[in-house]
Amino acid sequence: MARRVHMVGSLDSFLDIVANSIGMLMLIIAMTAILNDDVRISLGTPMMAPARAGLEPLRFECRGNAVYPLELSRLPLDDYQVALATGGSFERINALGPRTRHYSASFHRDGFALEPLGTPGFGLRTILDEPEAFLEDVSAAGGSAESTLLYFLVRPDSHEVFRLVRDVAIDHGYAIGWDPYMDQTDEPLYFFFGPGGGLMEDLYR
Amino acid sequence: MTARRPSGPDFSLFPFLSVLLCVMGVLVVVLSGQTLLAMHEPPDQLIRIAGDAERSPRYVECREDEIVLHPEGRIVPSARLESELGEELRLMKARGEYLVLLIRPHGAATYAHCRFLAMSFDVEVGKDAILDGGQVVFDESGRAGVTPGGQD
Repeated sequence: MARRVHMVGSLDSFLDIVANSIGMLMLIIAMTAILNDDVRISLGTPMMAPARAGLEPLRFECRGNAVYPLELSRLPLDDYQVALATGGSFERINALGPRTRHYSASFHRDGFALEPLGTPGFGLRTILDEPEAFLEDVSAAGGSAESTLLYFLVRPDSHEVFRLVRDVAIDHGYAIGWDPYMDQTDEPLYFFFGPGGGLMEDLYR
Repeated sequence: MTARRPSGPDFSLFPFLSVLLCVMGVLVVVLSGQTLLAMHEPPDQLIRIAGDAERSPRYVECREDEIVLHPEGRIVPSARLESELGEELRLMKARGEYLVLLIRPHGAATYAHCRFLAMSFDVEVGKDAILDGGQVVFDESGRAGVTPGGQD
């Protein structure tokens, strides 16, 4: 009587491992594809030029990847000009505690400083998800695409939010001006008086 | 009564599978490490230059202590800006080119220096803010065109 030869062992576990390996490979391929997605930037031909006649600036600061309206119109700049012209005291102005929604101001002989209050500005997520909130704020400040140039002072940590808010503003027809602000994020903004420094516009054709 | 002999050549895949599992474990650790490293490495910034039919831009990247002249990628330290960028600006003026300064987050001081030089050579300036990290990559011609990814 012939004996049957038994093969002890199963390929099931091996196949499990093969299936798992394929799954892992797919994950790795997906990750690699995501990581290799370059940041694509379209520059156009950004050219600096003196701002067109009739454009009034609305100024903003980009700090901590958020946008803050400076709201200089809320500051007693007329009183400051008078004090400068007449040699009056700045202490009287400073004693009133001039401030905007996001800054407290202090006036001096050679200029004035804006100290952040720590209030929340328009963050990256807000600009991305609710750009109309920023645009409504611009409109509330009297801004319009026909007559307003949005001017941004951009801190080193805020290039990303600036690029985003600039795209939003350009899409809605606003003229744009900006300058990099080299001081660190925790430094107040200083405005000095001196020759030059006319309002510049960036032309994106 | 005799003992029953084994009925055939039994074999088991267990040692082989164990080795396979060990290799996979090592691979997973290695790949996870590489992925983590890659996640912290910023991607390149691929720049599509729209260009201008009449005027050619010359792109200069402003870093904290140096500039990079594109597309050749020549690095000029801040200390040699006046001589080397000055020479470039003189040639650009003769060729009717204009300067586009790509400003890295900590390149504001370098930008101010470059802009001052460009004004002194009467060369027009454009500028843009670029993000930190990664390389600035241009398309082949360094002028208008479609990116390798085909996106506009």
